[in-house]
Amino acid sequence: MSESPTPTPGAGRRSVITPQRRVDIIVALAIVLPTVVALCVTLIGREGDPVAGLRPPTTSALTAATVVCPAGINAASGLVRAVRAPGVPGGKVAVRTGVAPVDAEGNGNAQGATKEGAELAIGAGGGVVVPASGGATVLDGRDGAAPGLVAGRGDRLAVPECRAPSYDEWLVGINASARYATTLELVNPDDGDAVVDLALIGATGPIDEPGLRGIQVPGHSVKRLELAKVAPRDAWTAAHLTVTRGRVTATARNTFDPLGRGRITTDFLPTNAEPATTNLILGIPEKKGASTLVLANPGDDEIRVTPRLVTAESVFTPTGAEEIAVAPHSIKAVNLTSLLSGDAAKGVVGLELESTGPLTSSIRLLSKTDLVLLAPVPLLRDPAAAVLPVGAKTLLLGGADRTGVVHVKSYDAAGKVLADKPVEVGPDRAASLALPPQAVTITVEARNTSIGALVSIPATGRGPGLATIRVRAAELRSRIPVVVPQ
Amino acid sequence: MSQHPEVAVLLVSHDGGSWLPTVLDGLLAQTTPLDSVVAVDTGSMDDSVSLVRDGLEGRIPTLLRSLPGSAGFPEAVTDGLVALAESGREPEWIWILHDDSTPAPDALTALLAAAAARPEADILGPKLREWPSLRRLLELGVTISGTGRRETGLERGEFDQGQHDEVREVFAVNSAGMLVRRSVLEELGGFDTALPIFGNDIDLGWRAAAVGHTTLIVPKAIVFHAEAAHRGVRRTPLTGRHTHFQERRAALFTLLANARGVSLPFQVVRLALGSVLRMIGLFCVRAVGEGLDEIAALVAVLRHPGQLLEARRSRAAVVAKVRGADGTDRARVRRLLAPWWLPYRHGLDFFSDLVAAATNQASDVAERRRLAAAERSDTPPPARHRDEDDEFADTGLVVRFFTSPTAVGTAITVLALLIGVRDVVGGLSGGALSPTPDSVGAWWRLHLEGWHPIGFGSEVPAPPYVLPLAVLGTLFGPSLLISLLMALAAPIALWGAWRFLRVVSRLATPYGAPRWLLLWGSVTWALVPLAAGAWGGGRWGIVVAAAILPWLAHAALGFADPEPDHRWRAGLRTGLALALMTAVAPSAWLVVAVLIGVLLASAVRLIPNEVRERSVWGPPVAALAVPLLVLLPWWLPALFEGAFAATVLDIGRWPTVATSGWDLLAGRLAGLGAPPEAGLVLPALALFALLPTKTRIPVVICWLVAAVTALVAIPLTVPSIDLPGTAQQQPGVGAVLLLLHGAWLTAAVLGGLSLHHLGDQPRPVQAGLAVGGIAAVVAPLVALVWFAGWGGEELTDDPPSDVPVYMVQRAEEAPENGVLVLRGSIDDGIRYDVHRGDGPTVGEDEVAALTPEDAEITTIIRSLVTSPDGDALDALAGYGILYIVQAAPADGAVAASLDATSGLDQASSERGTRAWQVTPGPEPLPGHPAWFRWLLLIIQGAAIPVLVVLALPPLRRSRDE
Repeated sequence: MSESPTPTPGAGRRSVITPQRRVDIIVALAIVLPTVVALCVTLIGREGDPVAGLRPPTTSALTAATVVCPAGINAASGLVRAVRAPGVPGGKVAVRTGVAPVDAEGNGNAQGATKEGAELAIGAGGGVVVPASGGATVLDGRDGAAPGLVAGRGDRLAVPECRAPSYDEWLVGINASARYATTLELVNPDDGDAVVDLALIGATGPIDEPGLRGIQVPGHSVKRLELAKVAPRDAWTAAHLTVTRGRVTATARNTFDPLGRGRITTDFLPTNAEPATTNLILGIPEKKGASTLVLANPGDDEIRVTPRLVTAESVFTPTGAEEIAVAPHSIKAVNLTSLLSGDAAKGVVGLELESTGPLTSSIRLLSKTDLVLLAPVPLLRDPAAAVLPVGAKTLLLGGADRTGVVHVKSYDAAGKVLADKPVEVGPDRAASLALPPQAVTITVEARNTSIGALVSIPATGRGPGLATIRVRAAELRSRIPVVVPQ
Repeated sequence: MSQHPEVAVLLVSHDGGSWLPTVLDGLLAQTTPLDSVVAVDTGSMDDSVSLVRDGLEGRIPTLLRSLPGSAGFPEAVTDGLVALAESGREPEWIWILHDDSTPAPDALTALLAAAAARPEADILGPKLREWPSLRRLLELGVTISGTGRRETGLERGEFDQGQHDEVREVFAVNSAGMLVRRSVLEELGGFDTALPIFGNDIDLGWRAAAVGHTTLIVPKAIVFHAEAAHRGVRRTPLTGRHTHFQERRAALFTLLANARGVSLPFQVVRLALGSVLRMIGLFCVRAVGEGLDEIAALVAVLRHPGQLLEARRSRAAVVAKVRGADGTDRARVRRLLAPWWLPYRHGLDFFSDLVAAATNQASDVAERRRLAAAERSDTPPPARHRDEDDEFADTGLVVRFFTSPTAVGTAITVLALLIGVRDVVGGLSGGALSPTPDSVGAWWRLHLEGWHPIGFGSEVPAPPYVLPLAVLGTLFGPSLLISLLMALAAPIALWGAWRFLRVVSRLATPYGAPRWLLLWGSVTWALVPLAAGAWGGGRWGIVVAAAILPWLAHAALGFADPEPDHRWRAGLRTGLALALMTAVAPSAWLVVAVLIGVLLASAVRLIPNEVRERSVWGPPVAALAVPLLVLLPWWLPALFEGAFAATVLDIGRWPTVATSGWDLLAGRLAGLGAPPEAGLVLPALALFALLPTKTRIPVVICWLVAAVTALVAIPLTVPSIDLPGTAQQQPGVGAVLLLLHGAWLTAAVLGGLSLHHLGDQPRPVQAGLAVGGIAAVVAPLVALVWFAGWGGEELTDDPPSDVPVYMVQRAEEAPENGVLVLRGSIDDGIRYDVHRGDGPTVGEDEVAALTPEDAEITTIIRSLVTSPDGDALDALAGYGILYIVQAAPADGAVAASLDATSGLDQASSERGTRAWQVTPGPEPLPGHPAWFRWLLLIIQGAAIPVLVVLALPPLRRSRDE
């Protein structure tokens, strides 16, 4: 294609190389072209991940909210009190109630269809008591009445969580023996049937239990499952509860029966929403009996867990605390008694579990011979509210991701503000706030941080013990997912 | 002289002025005296009549007859016989001559001698040789094949060396020089007037054989024949301008008029089909006029069935009169007709000629340039590298194979490649390669329809490779085809690279490259796409493009051909190869377009005068225009449908991980392929190839190609293209990678041409060369071993679908039974797609991925997953959705919303997955007429065969050449 220009004359004329000698174009190209290639190669960088990551949902006004309260612990349990989260106008909600327990044990008969009650207007402040709500109670708010609906029961020793139906959660530390018996209460708030699956994992791996698969819950009804009858097994297990059809609110209660050597005591087992690598369990009382931590690893890899103690000053790993290894698809029970005793354990209000993989957990302990069950607290970003029993109680706050202020308002039954205190919180420490004994509802609003909150309600006198209630976010807005073609 | 029987010469002339003097001389020179001459002229416009009169009068008793121009040869012969009868002559023999056939002096003597020796002979013919060459054989008796072809049994242009010199019985002899008994000619009714010029001799022979007359060929008698009418030198009102038409018409008429009555319908069908086939064949060799003549001849014959029947009746009458109850002499006819297999044999020969010509036509660019150069200079052409074939020419094939390192090396490479592709057995999918459809009909539909039932319906055009896949898949079936493509791409790439590098090295140096260098280069090339991970990543477009590129480059070398015709054909061939390559690696067109632009621009600067010629700049531009025309049904609708990104994206399933510049340098697709260090050897060698001064210019040209490619790569690779939905995709890097490494490989091979007389080099240079040589050998070895061992491991089958099997079966039943699949959760975002038919298969991925998002559908689905909505469900059913599946892990909130939607019934599904059926089910989807698509397809369908035919080498030469 091309002809190279005549090369410069060779030997013999070296001495007279003229300054205007032309640069050989081929030589020039031989240098320039590879350089161009090299430049281009460095310019082409590796691109990012071709698949876009998570797309957080947008929100809009909540148009439907369902809150389900399980039946109280026995015939003496208080009624359901419903209230609004702060700053929500409120409106009338539909009410359905189930059969209330009739005896002191509270067992067996609190199931069957729920029946429709009169609509209730629920506003902010102290809230209203739902009549005839000793049994399972379903509150259903539509449109304007949906946002910020909160309910609770004013019991002293065991307070159940009133919450919206869930689809996928973990119950860690259930048993089906004579000493420890777990009863599951499944409430279906909808017209259609619901189906629930329970998958158990034990200390040695998954447990196949056909009786816990495909549990049918007819529409608008309550179903109670006494695990000791359905699937008797003297072993601690964790249950992965999935709702495969419809909506269900599931509540587990554990009864400890020392078989004649002491008091029979029951507490509600709080759920784990999902396995996480950081679990903050608040509510460990100052004085406690034997304490057991139950860890469940649903993953395929072994997990190592570092327990850290949470106090008002700091979060730390006590000397001598060892890493706990949890095999894949199995649970592990760890005796915490030595960890939670001694000087180091002074002022401990909670336990933070840092793990190498996602896990679920719970703590079982005895406080003044009363069974106390604790599970990780959910982290709140939005204003939250809780319904509390009358009496002495303390709000514990922890898990703040940065320094911030939490505004806590307490209301009495008449809706009067009893206290309105800001609490300073920070990372790696907990905070506590004594609540007025007359307070029946509180609202918790964190600024600048997310926060985990739990109300610890010690009971004294006859039948002493401890109840805890996790403060949950009230649903204010519905989440509209980002929908895209794949 | 009185012993010899009386012979009358019958000379038919029409505008034969140019040959007649010689013919008359030949007549007068006959050693056997002629008794009389009847000269019949059919309306000559020239001096034929006077020439005959002046030439013969006074020497031989001559009867001169004149007929009008419309009279054919049969009329002329009949008129001659009448003239003889009128003049009272009754010669025993008639010797027919044309005005363009001149007999050798002893022709008649030989004929009469043969007639005397074989008294049963009634018709005798001479050996016809070509006039004016006088040496080439034309005919030694003729017969006719089942398709109507005039069979002489001779090779074209065979020289007469006495190889056919025996008197034997034949089916017919040419009327030029035919010696026929007058009685027989009269008995048969002369030549058939329905065949005025052509084919009447075969017809006469057939009729003679049918009544039991013997026709002999007498090779000792020689007549020189100019075949003026056949070659179109002489045009009469009867031949018209379409000689081929007349010849075919005569052939068809002869076959149908003489065939057995029983087989007549079969013959008609066979000839009709045969004519269509021949027409296609003639179109294929650019003989459009003759192709049309074929059909016209068929129509002309079949349009007058009465004429045919009349001809058959008259033949039957003659047979009945002569043979009575014996009927036709079938044994004789069958013996003398051409064997039945002959037409098929001709077809096979033609096809192999075509293939050979098509594959060889560019291989000798270097040769032709050298010849052209040699014509301009005096230096003798230099010797090439000695072929090992020559050395072992007299040894056996096995010995030759095992004593040739090249052959053994190639065989081992191909074997290793085949080991590497062992996974192709039983279907292939994974990575960017989707499963193949169950039947090839899916590809045809995809190509033909303007609206695809993919997703919620799409008007995005099918990817361009669907047409070749459909065509080839019709032969092999889709699954086998993809396996074959993936398995054979590397050996084909190796072969193509060998041919390309051989010609390139011959262009660069007179000696060409030694075989070991070609082996190294072609093996290295075959490994480029495999080592890049294109095979393992399911990037089948790149694998196939690598097989096409060397052939494309090989064709493009034809731009440098000294002949303009060759250059134009090279342009079309390059264009077709580029179209194919663009179909499987769409960015190839852009890269090649810029390359051609740059090379033309530099050519304008260097050799302005030559480039200004249209046949120099035209072919490269044509090469770029061909893909635009051939791929019109793809890129034009894509432009309108918002899917123009398809023209720069690699094909296959998206998204794929983006490839960086360093990956390109090492020839690796991101995250795939052999160890990248081995890939850096090639660019390094290409860099060293710049050092030898002798081959520096071609090496610099290679680097120019590489630099231009790298520059084009920046806009191609840096920005990502947002696909509808969640993904982004880096535009096509496949073509860039292949062109870069192709350029470097060529540079390295060209640099390697300087590797001789190594002993004379200084020590350090020798050491450097040794290191480079070792690296050059090790790099492809590493890639080869890696591919044979682990190359297939990356191509893993897709995980099972989320859609339950029974839904898949329903979906396959009808396009409206779609399954809407929802993935993700409210927190992470919900992604949807639709499973239809047999799921996403090869060809559908691009359509699905490029279909713009329909905001209305997204709104419908959003309302469905957030709040129960019966209207949304009706709308979905209207879009052809029968099931909704929520893939595991299913978000309970979404599931609860769907549970609460009236019109959705729970359907069974695997644990973790949720499913619903839409009731009532969807109606059949409405039709989508696509006139515009059909228009584009017609253009494409016409363009491809025309371009292929134009790109083919000239095959059909007329008899004079």
